[in-house]
Amino acid sequence: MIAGPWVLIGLPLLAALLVYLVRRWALPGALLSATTSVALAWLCFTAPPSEPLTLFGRSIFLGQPVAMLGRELALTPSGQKALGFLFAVASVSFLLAWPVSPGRSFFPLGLALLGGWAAAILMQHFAFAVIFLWLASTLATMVIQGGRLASTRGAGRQMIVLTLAVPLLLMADALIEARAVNPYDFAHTQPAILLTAAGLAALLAAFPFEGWASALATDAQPGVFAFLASGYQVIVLLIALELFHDQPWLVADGQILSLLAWGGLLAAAIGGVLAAVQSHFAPLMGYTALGDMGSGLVALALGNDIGLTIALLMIVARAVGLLLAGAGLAVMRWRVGGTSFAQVLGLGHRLPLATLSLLVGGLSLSGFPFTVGFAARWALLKQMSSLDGPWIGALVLAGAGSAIGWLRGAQILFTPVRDAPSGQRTPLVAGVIIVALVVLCFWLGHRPDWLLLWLRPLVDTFAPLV
Amino acid sequence: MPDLADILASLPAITTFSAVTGIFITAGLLILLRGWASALLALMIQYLLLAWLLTTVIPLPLALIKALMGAIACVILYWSARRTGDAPTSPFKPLELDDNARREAINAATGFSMRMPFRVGALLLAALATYGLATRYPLPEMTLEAGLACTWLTVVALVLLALSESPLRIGMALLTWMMAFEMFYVTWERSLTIAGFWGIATLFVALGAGYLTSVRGAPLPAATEEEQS
Repeated sequence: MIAGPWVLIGLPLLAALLVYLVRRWALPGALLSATTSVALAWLCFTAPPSEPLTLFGRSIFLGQPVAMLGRELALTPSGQKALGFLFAVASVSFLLAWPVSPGRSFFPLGLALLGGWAAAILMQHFAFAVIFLWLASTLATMVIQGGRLASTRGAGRQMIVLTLAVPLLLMADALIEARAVNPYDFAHTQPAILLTAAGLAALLAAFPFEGWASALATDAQPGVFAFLASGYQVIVLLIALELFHDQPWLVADGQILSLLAWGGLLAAAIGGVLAAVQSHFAPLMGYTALGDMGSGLVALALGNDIGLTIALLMIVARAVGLLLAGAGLAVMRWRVGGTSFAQVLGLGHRLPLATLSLLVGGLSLSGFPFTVGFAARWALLKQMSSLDGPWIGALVLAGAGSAIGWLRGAQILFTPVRDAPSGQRTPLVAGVIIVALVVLCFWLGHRPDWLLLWLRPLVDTFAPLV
Repeated sequence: MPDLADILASLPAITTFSAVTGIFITAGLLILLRGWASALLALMIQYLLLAWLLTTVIPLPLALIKALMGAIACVILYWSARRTGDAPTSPFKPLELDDNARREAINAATGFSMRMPFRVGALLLAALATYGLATRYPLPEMTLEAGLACTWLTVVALVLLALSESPLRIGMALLTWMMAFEMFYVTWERSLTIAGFWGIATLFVALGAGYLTSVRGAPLPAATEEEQS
């Protein structure tokens, strides 16, 4: 019988080796990567964790824990959902990367990254989970840069944030363990809380650590940014929720949540304001995503089941929005060689599908009505409306600023020009995925209850935080 | 035949105080030195001094392994930089949105962040900040000297991160940050597994910084150069 953790970590790594051998050809690389991800997503979504499953004559027991270097790797129900979501996002990203390749290394390194992320989710020990996340994200440096001889700022900042944050979290873990040994020694309580708050704030792009998100969006290929920003937040949030669940005293006095709330609020406001004044689509996507991440942190910091539901809903909506905007932007970048407003002027008539994808994705990230991003934003505004202070104003600013940025972009795309760039049509595969994602975006916007039902077990596991 | 511990014990008295003083000098040089090779040498010496300091807390073989990992990280950075240099003025292909790259090149050309008075000022400020932090918030479970060195490495790493644009310097800053943390962390957590993963992380960070250094300084393909001319 094969234990689930070995399958979930080992299969992407094995596929990465195979894909590396065929890296010169985009089609087999994309198909192998996407097939692996789809198979693993299917396994996570459908296979029961408590009983074995027979596949190709082999028995697989997803829920069977294994020990690695004396630490337990196990698939919890929440981890199973998170991994299923990650693999699903990855499969869409790999398929999109076939016609619009972000570089030869994307497929093998993306799969290796998935293996590292899976290890981080499966690892039951907090310190080892963040170390796995760190190692995997260092690998992401190469995925982000993709061998391009251009600015290294995005990849560098991502590495900086991880390397600054992880030691803080490791130190927090050591203090937490010291407290567990001697529960009546409160000397380490406050440092542990502050270190945890600082580490998580950096990883979750809260102010003042918000700079990496926009730098990443500017420098990475759009599809790569969508993949990383969607996946990475899931893992960090899950690790944080499991930590809070295991060590409730960390959040009991509300300090961490308060710091995350303020950091998130400022990041949301900064994202909204800067999104409104951008003249390139790539940073516009980055700042919009930052605004959304900040809003998600505010929701999480509410600490109750409604707040956690909103935060999780936002993560799913963000992934859909980022994949849509990333797909559209990748096609445009591929066709006209850039994403600045000057370069894509009048392109809306020539690349209607890519334009639709870009705008629907961007507006969904901004929380525009009828899209998947709207339900969570509206619920958050309703929750915050009863509070005094700058909360509601900053959150409205985040959404409105981003929406203004995207509407400015739409105006540019549909400006009639005589010598508009002679773009060809959107590639068929990208077109099919775009249509499917647009339908999904509006359908989930119309029926968010479907998502709420799916997320309910996660909320029940972790809420309330305080 | 004397073993390694005996040989080390018979070395001229490298006291904790002198190791800490050495760390102060090497970390200060990381801010002051303009040449990448000399800065890397300072970083490697810093790793050796750190390992020496750590022998008071962890077994000698483990400290030596940590020094070895640091040395390998320095070699990785050296190889990357030797191919391309640390100069951020390498001819970036103006792909798109290359404002960042242009700005980096302009910074390098004007030499603003490279000027010695600016660096000396930054060093003095870092020293003041270290003194203030170490005296006001002494690190628990550490001697005064070790705590001071740990704070100094932390502040130097942050100053380097603030001053640096090149991936090579950022890599050095991150390794310094990791050294500072390691000094503090070993007094709390002595798990061999964590130490092993820490070594792997050191190599990964060096590989990441080395990769970005290579990409940043890589020469343009001939066709592109023709296009540019």
